[in-house]
Amino acid sequence: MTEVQDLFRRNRAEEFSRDVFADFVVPPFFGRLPIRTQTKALVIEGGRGCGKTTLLNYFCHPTMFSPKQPEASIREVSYVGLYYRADTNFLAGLQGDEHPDKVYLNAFKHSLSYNIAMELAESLESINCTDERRDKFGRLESLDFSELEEMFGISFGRTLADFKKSLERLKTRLAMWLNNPKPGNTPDFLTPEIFLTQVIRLLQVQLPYLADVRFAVFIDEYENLLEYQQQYINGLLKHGRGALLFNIAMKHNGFLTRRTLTNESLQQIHDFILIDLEHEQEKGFELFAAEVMLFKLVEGIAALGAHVPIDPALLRRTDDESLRIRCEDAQYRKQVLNCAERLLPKMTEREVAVQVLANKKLRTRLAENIADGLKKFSTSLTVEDFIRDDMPEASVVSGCLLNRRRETPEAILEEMEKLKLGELTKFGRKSSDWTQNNLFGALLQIYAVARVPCPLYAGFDSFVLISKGNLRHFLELTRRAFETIDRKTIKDLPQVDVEAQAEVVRQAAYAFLNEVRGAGTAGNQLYGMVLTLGAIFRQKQRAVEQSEPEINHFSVSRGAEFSEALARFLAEAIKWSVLFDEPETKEKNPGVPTRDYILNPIFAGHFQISFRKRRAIPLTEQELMIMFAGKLEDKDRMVRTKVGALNANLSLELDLGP
Amino acid sequence: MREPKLRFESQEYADITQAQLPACELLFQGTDIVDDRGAAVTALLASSAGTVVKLEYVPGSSQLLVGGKVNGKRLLQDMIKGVRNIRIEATTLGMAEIIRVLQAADEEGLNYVDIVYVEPESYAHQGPVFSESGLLPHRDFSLTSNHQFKGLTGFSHEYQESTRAHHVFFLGFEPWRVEHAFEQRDNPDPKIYTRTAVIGVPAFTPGWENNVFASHTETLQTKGFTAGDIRYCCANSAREAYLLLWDLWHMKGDGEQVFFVSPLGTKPHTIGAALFLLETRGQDATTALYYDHPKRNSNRSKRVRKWHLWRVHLRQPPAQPASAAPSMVTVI
Repeated sequence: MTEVQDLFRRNRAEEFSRDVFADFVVPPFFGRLPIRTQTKALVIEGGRGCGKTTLLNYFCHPTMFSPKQPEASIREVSYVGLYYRADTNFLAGLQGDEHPDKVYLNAFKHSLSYNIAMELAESLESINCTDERRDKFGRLESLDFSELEEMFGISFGRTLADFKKSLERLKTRLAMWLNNPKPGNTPDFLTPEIFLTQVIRLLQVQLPYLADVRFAVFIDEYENLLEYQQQYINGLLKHGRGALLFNIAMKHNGFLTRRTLTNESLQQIHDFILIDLEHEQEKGFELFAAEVMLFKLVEGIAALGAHVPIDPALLRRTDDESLRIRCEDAQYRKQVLNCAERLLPKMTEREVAVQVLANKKLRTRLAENIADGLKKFSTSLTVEDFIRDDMPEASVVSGCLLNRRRETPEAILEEMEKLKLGELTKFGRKSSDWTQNNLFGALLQIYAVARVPCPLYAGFDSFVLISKGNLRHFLELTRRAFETIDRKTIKDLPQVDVEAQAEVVRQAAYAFLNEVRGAGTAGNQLYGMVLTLGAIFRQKQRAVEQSEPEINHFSVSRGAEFSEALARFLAEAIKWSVLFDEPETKEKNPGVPTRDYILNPIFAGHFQISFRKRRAIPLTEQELMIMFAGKLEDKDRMVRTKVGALNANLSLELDLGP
Repeated sequence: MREPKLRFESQEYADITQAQLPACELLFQGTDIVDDRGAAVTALLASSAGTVVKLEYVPGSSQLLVGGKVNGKRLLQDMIKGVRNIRIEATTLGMAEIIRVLQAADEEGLNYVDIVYVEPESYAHQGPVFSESGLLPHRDFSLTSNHQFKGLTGFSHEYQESTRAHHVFFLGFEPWRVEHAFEQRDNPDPKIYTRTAVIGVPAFTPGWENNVFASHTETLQTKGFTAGDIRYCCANSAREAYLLLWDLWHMKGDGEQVFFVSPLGTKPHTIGAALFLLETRGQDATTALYYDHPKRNSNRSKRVRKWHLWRVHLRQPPAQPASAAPSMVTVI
């Protein structure tokens, strides 16, 4: 029996099966995806963990023709998805000075041919995987592949099993030839456009139910292909038609080239439709994340179904009406989000402020902040005047206001008195709302310096913001959170303790931070950049005056184009979702085009900084290059300069880098 | 399945002089001197060789540069033709260069190759030792960069999701290299893709094995390694690594699955892996290299701890050592 702690651990079937039907929550944007109706190539783009491969699996034959699909839903065979994940380690070896370039190109085409043909063969087995469908479609035993030998000079046998064995043999022969090329052992190379088209034609003649079928190939990990390999695939995207269409899936900035081998250019809209999964997902992510969480809960422990306002069957349905209910029914949305918030409860900023006053360690930290501020004035007022249990938010905020020295202690205290009397005050007036502008940052500062996990990281809303449209990040936070639940405390719905959630966010941030080093060829440089940038944000967040609270992104002037090296680093950072780029929200320097780069909020817990997009610091190209590729001492100096503590005895988390 | 046939002679020194080195006709070394030991070994070996050849493998273009020239595989073979003894300076060379020299030596019928490797006194502690929050580990090393798993022609095999395989990882101080390997393989199903991790014990110096254990614990756990999947092998023994791979291959290798090797640990382990892969090429039970061709970072280590001289006999019966050759301590 599944325990609540195990609900979000992926089981083997879920992790390794290509049939994702039972575990797939149809995303709300599904209706907008032109996949099954495609008339031109699709370029599906998204970062690591956005659900790209799962979505592709959903459209490919093991899921589309899953034995778990209701039989009534499979009336005909009109669209068959074929998945091909490039083995980039192997394919990257198809270059060098051992053979002419043309031979490597032919070997690449050959590899594509037999791998996709194998998918095609397996799709026939998926289509006919139940008795009912064998009656309806079937005839696999009468297939005869022998005519292919005449066309290609390679024997593929007669039966489907022979055909598959022959394809395996082609794979082995190619590897043997590549590893030990000898005169006379060069394979007879196949070309996908010709070979696959002939195989499809043969199938259509012999299996009438495939007469109107379109086979759509999804080539995953396109970004890791060599340039000539991308050029060849680009040609397939541009000229795919009839019963065989080609699509690609890749991370952001995955195109090394838009050219084809015949030097044509691949044009968006004209030649392909771009689907940016993260962009699509971010719009409705809050509801989708809640649905996925509740879906897993109910699927894992059926008894919880009575307490959860979702119907797993509805979430598996792709029809317009089901999607409409989920996306447009306000009542449904409210119930689902409320339920998610019950599982992952949060504390309001006021409640957190109350906790600061109630907790000895935190209260002492606040008192020290206030005392530091008072030292800057000649005043008879004391710390006790500003720590008021009946005004927790104002008490916390007063700590940073006093350190800013813009208002005298007397003026601040006067505002607190007005607040107590319920009068209009700077603590609550919209135009200069001290509480709204400062409380979140001031709370983070107190908890960070006191080294206590801050409850502001807890709550379903926070998890959604921290995940920023990345389902893998959301589920990892949720998995870690649910693992902390004490089973004895569960009554109807499990609930994760707020402090445990906050600690989980910190731990997950650290785990994801460590993954950055494995992010492609520039992994170490990206890691060094995150640590340096995080060190700046962290020190700014720990500044007691909080004059610019919640800094967690940077803007960079685009007066001139970036140097090639910096452009490459930034492209890699975006490709691996370490940074997100957005046009600048507030134009600080009219006329100077700038872009904002946001540090992935999944790292916020590690640096104890805000995960809400609030304030940016400007950085120059030179500073960015130091962050990516500078020496430790240069990074250290830059961080100290940026945080205004050149000579302070700070201990900064930095990486030496290469 | 065959048996291991290579024979090793080995000798180690805390310090070494020119007189203790047998002369060689060709010395192969790396192009970059990144640390003290690289500088020391380059200075010492230069005058012990008739000709010094600098090698560099460029992963981006899969080209081996021999003295800066392309078509390296052919050039190497031409160079070695007719030569009796060559030396590989393994401290400054990487996996791809070492295996290409060994391959050329084997194909040209050399009886033996000499290999030199220098252990460092310490590795540069790159991590945030003074981490204020104490959140980053104190065993954080950054010794290499630019990792990208790319097939090496001659030692590569195509992998698809359904491929049955056994994968041996030699572990070092940088856990993200293993993480990256799994990421690029899209975390294969452990039921059909079994794995072994090899840790260098005893380490170069007592305690260093803890750097490997501590930094890889989470990775090994999340990737489903169990106690039975972890093996130990002396960190500075190429011979032990070579024999361990043969043992594992005998146990796990068969005609139905691919036996991948990722030497991500010490250089002696890398040399052992190169010799194993070379000897098992073209067998029914396929072996293949799965490697990320890292660039070694500047100042990655400090000073010199120990010098290793190995002679690997590629042919039977063993050639008589050259008259100037040192008397090797261990003969296997």
